[in-house]
Amino acid sequence: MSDQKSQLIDHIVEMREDEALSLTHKMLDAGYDPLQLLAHCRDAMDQVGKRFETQEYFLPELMMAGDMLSQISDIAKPLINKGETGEQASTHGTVVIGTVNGDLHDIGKDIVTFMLEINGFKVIDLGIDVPVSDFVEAIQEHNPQVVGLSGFLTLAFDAMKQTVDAIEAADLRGQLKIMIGGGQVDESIKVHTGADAFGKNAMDAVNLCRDWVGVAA
Amino acid sequence: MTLVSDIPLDITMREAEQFHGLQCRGLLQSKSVSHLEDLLEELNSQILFGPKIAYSAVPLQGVVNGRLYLPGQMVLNAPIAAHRLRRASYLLLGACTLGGAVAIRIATLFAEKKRFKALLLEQLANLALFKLSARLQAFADDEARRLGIQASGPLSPGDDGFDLSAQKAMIDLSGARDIGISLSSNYMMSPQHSMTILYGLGQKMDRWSQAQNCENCRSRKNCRHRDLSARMSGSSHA
Ligand code: B12
Repeated sequence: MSDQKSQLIDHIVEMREDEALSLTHKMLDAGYDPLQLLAHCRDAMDQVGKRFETQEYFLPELMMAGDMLSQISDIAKPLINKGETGEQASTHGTVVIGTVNGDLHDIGKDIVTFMLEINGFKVIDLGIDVPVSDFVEAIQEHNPQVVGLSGFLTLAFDAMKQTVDAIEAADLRGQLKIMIGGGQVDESIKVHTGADAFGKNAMDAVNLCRDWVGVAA
Repeated sequence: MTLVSDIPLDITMREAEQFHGLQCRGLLQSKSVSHLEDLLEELNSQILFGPKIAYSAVPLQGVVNGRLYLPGQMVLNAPIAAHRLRRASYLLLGACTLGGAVAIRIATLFAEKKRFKALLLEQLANLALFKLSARLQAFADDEARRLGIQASGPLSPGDDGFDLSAQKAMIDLSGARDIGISLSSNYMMSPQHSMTILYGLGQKMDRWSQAQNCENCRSRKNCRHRDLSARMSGSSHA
């Protein structure tokens, strides 16, 4: 293994963000193949994933490594010849997500968004207090396979139902699945809202999306 | 109406480490602590927080069928408050905010793909807001002492049994607008990192902490925050 390659992998696996980013710049400035560099990052992510499985690492390390990977991709991708990036192919599918109308709690949604992104999904995050019509418009524009509705206030459950109803009324329900989540969301709220499934945490969200788009875990 | 803006709000590493919102599975493992230290330094330099409190004590004119009647024909639809504050002669309506800068910084961190740091900062902001809200309890105690009575524990619109529509009266009467808080038509406060809290002032008022409120909360089994309120008695939202 080349010295720089092993150093880069090591920096990522050991969560040395500054060092990983400056080595990335150094390697690319010296003409290192950006595609190869990204492949090293994926190797590093695999190692982080293994440490996660053995409980040496927890969610934060997964998130920190995901952040490094995104930042490195942003640096490397512009240097890759058009057509070579395989960006389309590397996206498992598109998810439109938001905190529903009348709610502003967004921490859970942000964690879900993050985990979906580092697991290969393109996520369109509509933010907080999202009007029903914004969901419908975003679905028409981005054609997602999955819509995620988040909410922590009890009032959010009615807003979730209204959002699901509006998606159905716009004749868009057949082409996508709807998942819901947030503090008190459970099976009974899933039934109340008419969503396809609910998730208790971000990994549930990832697994639901994987199942629905047919990606192996 | 009382407005307070000169509020020191330092957060120590120890407080951060003990905050349940930050304790979730390994969030404070060794690798992330350096991020936390950087953020605390940034926060304690007071660039990101503009803590402010507004409150006002008004006579409680009557309690009927789960509603509390206030001057100016204001009504709070709040069966839980009607029950727990039934002995109150005054209500203290309070609001507090960290200002909007911290939410902008969080959004910037997300945009820069520093999402982990963004989430750490979000949790630190919540810790700061809970600390700030605990100061409101102290103001309620002072006000009650001045009147020769006692203050109850905290209740917030949006809690079970306290209709969120009460936010309108809370904002109008507390002076919240004078510390930069506005309310949307569906009762969301802006800046996002803001809270409203109600206390009863009266003879022999029941006293409870937020930790006790949490015992009744339907979100309890999923809540990462409840340990904090157990440690910070009087904190008003968890
Ligand atoms: C943090 C918090 C806040 C923060 C919000 C910061 C922010 N950026 O979101 C602050 C302090 C600002 C706040 C304010 C208020 N809050 Co608040 N808040 C909370 C608290 C303590 C935690 C919520 C949270 O963020 N959890 C962290 C996440 C990570 O937890 P999690 O559930 O494990 O997340 C996972 C799952 O939910 C799932 N998930 C989430 N979304 C989705 C989506 C999909 C599709 C899927 C599959 C999964 C999924 O995945 C997540 C990641 O693993 C809750 C209490 C609680 N226990 O929930 C109250 C709570 C939600 N708040 C409440 C209230 C009432 C308010 C206020 C209205 C109070 C007031 N009167 O001031 C204000 C409103 C402020 C405003 N601007 O208008 C009430 C709601 C009551 C109700 N039943 O309706 C609660 C339940 C507290 C209570 N018991 O009273 N709040």
